[in-house]
Amino acid sequence: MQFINSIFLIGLLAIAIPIIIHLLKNRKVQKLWLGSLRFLIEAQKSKRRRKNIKELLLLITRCLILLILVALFLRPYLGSKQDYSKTESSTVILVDVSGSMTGNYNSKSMFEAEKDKVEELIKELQATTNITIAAFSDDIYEVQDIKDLKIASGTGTNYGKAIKWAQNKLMNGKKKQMDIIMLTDMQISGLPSDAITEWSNLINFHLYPILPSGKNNIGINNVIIPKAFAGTTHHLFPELNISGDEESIDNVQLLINGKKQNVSKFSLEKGLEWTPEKSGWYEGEVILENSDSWQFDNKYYFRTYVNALKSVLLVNGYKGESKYTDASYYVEKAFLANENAKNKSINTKVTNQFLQEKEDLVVFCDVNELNTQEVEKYKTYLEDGGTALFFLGNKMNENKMNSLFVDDVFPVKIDKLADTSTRPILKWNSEHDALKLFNNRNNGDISSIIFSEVYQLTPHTKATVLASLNNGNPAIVEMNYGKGKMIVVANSASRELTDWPISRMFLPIVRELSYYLIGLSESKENKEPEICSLLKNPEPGIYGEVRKVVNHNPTESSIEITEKEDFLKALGIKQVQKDIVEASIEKASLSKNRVRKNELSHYFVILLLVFLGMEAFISYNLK
Amino acid sequence: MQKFPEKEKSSLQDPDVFMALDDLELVAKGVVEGALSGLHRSKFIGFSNEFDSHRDYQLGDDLKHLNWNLWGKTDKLFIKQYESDTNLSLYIFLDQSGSMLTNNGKGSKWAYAARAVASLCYLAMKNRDATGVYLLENSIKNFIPPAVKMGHFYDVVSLLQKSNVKGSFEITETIESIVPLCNRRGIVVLFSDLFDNEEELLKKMEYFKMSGHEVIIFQILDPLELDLPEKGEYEFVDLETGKTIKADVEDLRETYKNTVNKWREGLKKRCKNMGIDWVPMTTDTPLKDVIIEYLLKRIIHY
Repeated sequence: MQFINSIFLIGLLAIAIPIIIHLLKNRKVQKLWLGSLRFLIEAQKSKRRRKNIKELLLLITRCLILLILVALFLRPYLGSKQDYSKTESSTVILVDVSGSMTGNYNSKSMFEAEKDKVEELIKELQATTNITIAAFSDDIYEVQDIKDLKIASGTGTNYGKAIKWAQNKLMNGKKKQMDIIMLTDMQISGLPSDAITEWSNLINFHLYPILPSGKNNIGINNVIIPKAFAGTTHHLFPELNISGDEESIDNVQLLINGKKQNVSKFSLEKGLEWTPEKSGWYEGEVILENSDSWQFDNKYYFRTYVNALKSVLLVNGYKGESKYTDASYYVEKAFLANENAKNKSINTKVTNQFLQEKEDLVVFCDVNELNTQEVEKYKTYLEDGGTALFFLGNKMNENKMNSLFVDDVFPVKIDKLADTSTRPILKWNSEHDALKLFNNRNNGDISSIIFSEVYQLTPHTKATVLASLNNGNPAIVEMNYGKGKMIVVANSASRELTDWPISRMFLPIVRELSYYLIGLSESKENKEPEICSLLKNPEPGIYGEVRKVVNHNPTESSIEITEKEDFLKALGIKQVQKDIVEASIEKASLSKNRVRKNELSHYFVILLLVFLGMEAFISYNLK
Repeated sequence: MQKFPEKEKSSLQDPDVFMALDDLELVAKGVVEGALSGLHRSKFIGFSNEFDSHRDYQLGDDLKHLNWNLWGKTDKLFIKQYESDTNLSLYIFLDQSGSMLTNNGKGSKWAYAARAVASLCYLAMKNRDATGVYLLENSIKNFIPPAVKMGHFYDVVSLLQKSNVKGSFEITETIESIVPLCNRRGIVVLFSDLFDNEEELLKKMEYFKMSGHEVIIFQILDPLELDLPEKGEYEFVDLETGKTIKADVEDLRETYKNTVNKWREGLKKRCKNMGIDWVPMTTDTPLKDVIIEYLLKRIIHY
């Protein structure tokens, strides 16, 4: 025997009522003192046995009446699950698993509420119809069990595709009764541009809207993470998706390596302040603590590397009157863009400042010679592990510089100024750490770099040519000295000589050469965090707070919900279509009124009447 | 002796009143004087013939009591005074078993019986009848033998007030032990509910009848012992044994009533056959009935 409304099985508990009454009846008695019980005992002898039998009969009758009442609600019927009506009925339950379903629904997510409803529907309908469950977002797929329903993160909604799939599914195994039940939040973005025209009159459509309970569902979509340097204050900017009326967001927490950062008053303009103490990998978490925050979108995890702040000494060989004609202008801008950096610029004429302090990198731009004192300092600097980057101008003191070449502290010998024609870089060592970034053309095309008025250079025997021009002349040369390392670029990056400084390849290549020299990239561990996806390749650029947008599982957190009527209209469901259930999730009830052929209810009604009569008869006679 | 106010005589005929009073003396006087006030003067009242002393004649004294001989000798008028003689002996037995404590109304059966005993004593004392009271316990240890003297009534009242009612025992054996004490023929009155082995008890009482005594049995029951409450579930408790029975009175009431009535009819019949007066009473019966019954019996005896 099966039950249509098996939920009413709970009504069986009501049988306890007459039993309790029966038991309580025997307990609530008054005391009466008599001189002798002999007459009472005598009187009882004849009465008691008969009364007990009647009381028992009454109890049994009342219990049976309750049982029959429960059975009437249960609506039992004979037959197995494969009965007539089931073979003639088919239902497709379309479950919205798009990102927007992660919104709040009272104390749980809309998705959880949706799954509960699906479970409820299955219990209700499985006895009367063949059920197919399908999860849809941008795409649609059939699932065998509710447990297989998963939120499709980062996806949108495509109602048209889902409905067409369900229609095809039903029409392929055509039954007398066919239903589509759709559970969704009715996102406008998922509606088809044109209404669905191929509706079959045989298919009934049921809509269960599951709408976010809060007015202002909020989720963290992105967090803009700066390229960070140790000892420097940075700002992280969460990008929030707010559905509904905007409200003030003031409770955003930043956790770095599990430790809560002291964020005073959060504002979208100010962001989250963060000052890393030292270089290395940091794991962070931005948490939105708001009652309306989305269950799955109120946290944003990230992992980023903090660079140690390096000191760079830029030595200008020539200081022009106009910054646009200054040969070192672009180099200076490239290195000194970050006001927090410890970089500084000096002119060769101020020699007493040359290498006075320990520097990580010395950049020579358009420096045509070094005096004896400077050479000595330079040599010592290199021996101790210092690094140097030369941008050669077109007015070099060949003798002076070649003496450095002789002393093995300059990687190229300057022969003569080459022709004035422009020459692109034709070859480069793509395996070299300083240039391998550009194997991916998206990061920059080295062949687009064009030099002019380049000295004809002879590389040192200990030097390595990293790139050369189309006439074979070295363009970038590297050489070690002592513990130190130096690189020469055969161009001063002056706008008078080349357009390279204003091209998009200037900053990337200067940055890569610098990082290579000071070893920034060597300290990074090449591992990717599991919970977020950082960009694999470093950002182009040298210093400065380069805002990097990291997309982590972006969900469909911005909900724009349509009205039910508009929703149905957009789907092409006409008003004349029968059996459109417009119930909310709490009140949803489907197919309750279907009457089964082999239901036993009428027998139970007759039994109920019989037992009611018996109850009345016994009650009357008991008295 | 204190004269009882006329106004209160009638009120003490009401069980609601006399059962509410703890003062047995007050109850006895009230009940007796109230009862007597409605009767014609009896020739037996104030009967005496034993000379006691003389006193000065006072205006209004009956001349038949004047001692003419003494007037002849002394030329003074003296009235002869007589000591009243005992007319009969009254033996009152009071059942002290626990069942007498049944109290589902104004008071217990024992309290009612005690008031009746006190009233009878008072009446007997007024008639110069020698009254003895015997408390029927498991043995005869608390009793006052018949006597006619000043303060006898108060002795009886004191005995009643100090008595202890409890337990279950065969009062028939106790009665048997009293028999030798009742050597002078008189009236034997038993106050009991007759719940304890009444067959044997009647046989014992028949023995008194056969010895020349007049026997009156006042069977005192609680109203609820005759007729159970109309409806409801009750736990009935036996006062003597403590045994309990739960029952719905609605089912048993009629059967119970019939059984009790049948039992009482049997008692009545047996008593009649034995020549014993059986007076059924409940604790809401006026005590006047007890007095009248006694007086009627006294007439017969005399």
